[in-house]
Amino acid sequence: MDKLLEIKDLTVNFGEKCVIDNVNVSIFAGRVTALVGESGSGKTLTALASLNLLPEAALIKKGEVLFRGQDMLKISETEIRKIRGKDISMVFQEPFTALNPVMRVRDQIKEMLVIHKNIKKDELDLRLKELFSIVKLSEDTGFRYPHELSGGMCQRVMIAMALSCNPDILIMDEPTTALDVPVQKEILDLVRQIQEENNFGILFITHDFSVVNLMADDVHVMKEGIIVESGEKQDVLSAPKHEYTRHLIDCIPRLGDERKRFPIQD
Amino acid sequence: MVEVDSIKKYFVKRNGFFTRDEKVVKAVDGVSFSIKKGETFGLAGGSGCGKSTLAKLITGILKPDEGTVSLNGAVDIVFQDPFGSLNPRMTIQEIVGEALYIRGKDKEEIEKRVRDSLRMVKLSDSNTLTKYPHQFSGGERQRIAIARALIHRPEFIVLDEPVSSLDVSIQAGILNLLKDLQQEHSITYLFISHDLRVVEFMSDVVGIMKEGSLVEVASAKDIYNSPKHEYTRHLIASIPTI
Ligand SMILES: Nc1ncnc2c1ncn2[C@@H]1O[C@H](COP(=O)(O)OP(=O)(O)OP(=O)(O)O)[C@@H](O)[C@H]1O
Ligand SMILES: Nc1ncnc2c1ncn2[C@@H]1O[C@H](COP(=O)(O)OP(=O)(O)OP(=O)(O)O)[C@@H](O)[C@H]1O
Ligand SMILES: [Mg+2]
Ligand SMILES: [Mg+2]
Repeated sequence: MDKLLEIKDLTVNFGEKCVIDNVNVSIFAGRVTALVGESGSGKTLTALASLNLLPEAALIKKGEVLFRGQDMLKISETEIRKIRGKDISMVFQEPFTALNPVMRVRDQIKEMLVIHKNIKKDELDLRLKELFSIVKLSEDTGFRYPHELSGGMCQRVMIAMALSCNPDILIMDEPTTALDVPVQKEILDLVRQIQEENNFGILFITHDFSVVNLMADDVHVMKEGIIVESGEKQDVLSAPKHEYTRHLIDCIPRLGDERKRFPIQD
Repeated sequence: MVEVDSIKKYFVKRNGFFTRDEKVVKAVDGVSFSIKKGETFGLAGGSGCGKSTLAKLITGILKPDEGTVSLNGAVDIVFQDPFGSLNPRMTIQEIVGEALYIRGKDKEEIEKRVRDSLRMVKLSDSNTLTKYPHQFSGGERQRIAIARALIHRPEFIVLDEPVSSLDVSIQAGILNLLKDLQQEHSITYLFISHDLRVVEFMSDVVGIMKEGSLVEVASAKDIYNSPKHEYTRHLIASIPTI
């Protein structure tokens, strides 16, 4: 397997509090690595570290992020700017906040293509058309500003933007939390199809096990900054080893469930 | 408790600066329903079908073009986008306690109630109170927004995708909590989610929305056991089994 990016022994603190504790995650060409786990367990920070986008207050205690032989945590801001968006792109967890509020969303995607791809005018329109159709949005939608879009529409604009430059690595942080299941499935199937054609690697953060089932090859389960279980999807879902993983699987809501309460302690 | 009568909200958009090409988005197109006191109305539907717009019309954040909304008592809302709805310059103590500061409660009482409210949503770190919204994870912000609405026990709460960023364990805790508070204080909920399993768990009555209209309204049991509208059947058939 062709390893594209490797997060090695990463440990990050905010003051005294350790939020990422010796984490090891790799992203492979043509594969989807899923990161699941507790809210606040360090999933987003792990993803941000891969792009050297950790908040200023974060203290990197240990570890490295290797991409093309370089440590992403050490290379210069100019170097990293060339990589971000083009070689590694990210769908942010809160897309509304990540979009530029005063620019029509179509123009925001266009800007990405012009900056990173130096694309010609007629190709540009064609590519935009294609991107909007991948994420199931009408082209009219592109003429709206972010605040004129629904939550799920913003997410889809983010996905289109992240796919726009044919990245080597695509990081998706809870990319479909506002999408209904049919649309979610259609878009994710297309993302996998494009991945098969272009052989890029995906780091996929989600709390939704049905999405893990749909998308993932490898799975890491996180809790309180620690990866408590790793393995191939089938193994983790059908024979979870760690108690926390089993607990999560117990808490998945099921249709026609007679339970009036979920089986958890307060 | 809540009466929504044929409300409409259209948005008119121009496609580009120089064009006269106008497009009307019929975000909410004649919706009527009611919610009984102490009950939960679950609202589900496709992305962009008008759920958040409906939530804003019901809470008075947007004015309907046509139709009326009548409420009996205080209402609060948990927005779909928690980051955008939390003031970045306020600490968590100020954000969660805001409704109590406005009512002139004394400082100690507010701090105690803020702590209780945060503990209920599983945020009980000692230094949580003095942190700002950007210093939290996405799911933590979502829980802060819930704590903020629960603290002053409004009679009616609109919850717009309130658990969409939470892991299933914490989600389960929040859903249990919402049900317990409803039992104790007869709170009424409008619960919006694209996850039909969560909607089934929470709701007495379910409405399925498509392109601005409610295509089906029925008891939670009937919607799942004998869906009438084709779109409802489509959504139910797509529910994952894992
Ligand atoms: N700027 C910051 N200052 C202090 N603490 C922070 C900051 N950013 C994040 N944290 C803390 O780091 C921990 C991990 O955050 P992270 O955003 O990685 O969680 P997550 O796993 O993505 O959670 P979620 O599923 O809720 O999005 C959380 O407890 C959070 O409160
Ligand atoms: N301020 C606005 N100006 C123009 N159009 C708007 C505005 N607000 C919402 N819309 C449009 O109204 C429609 C309904 O949006 P709404 O946010 O209500 O959908 P939703 O059902 O909440 O979707 P989601 O599940 O994706 O959050 C969308 O087409 C959206 O683009
Ligand atoms: Mg996160
Ligand atoms: Mg919405």
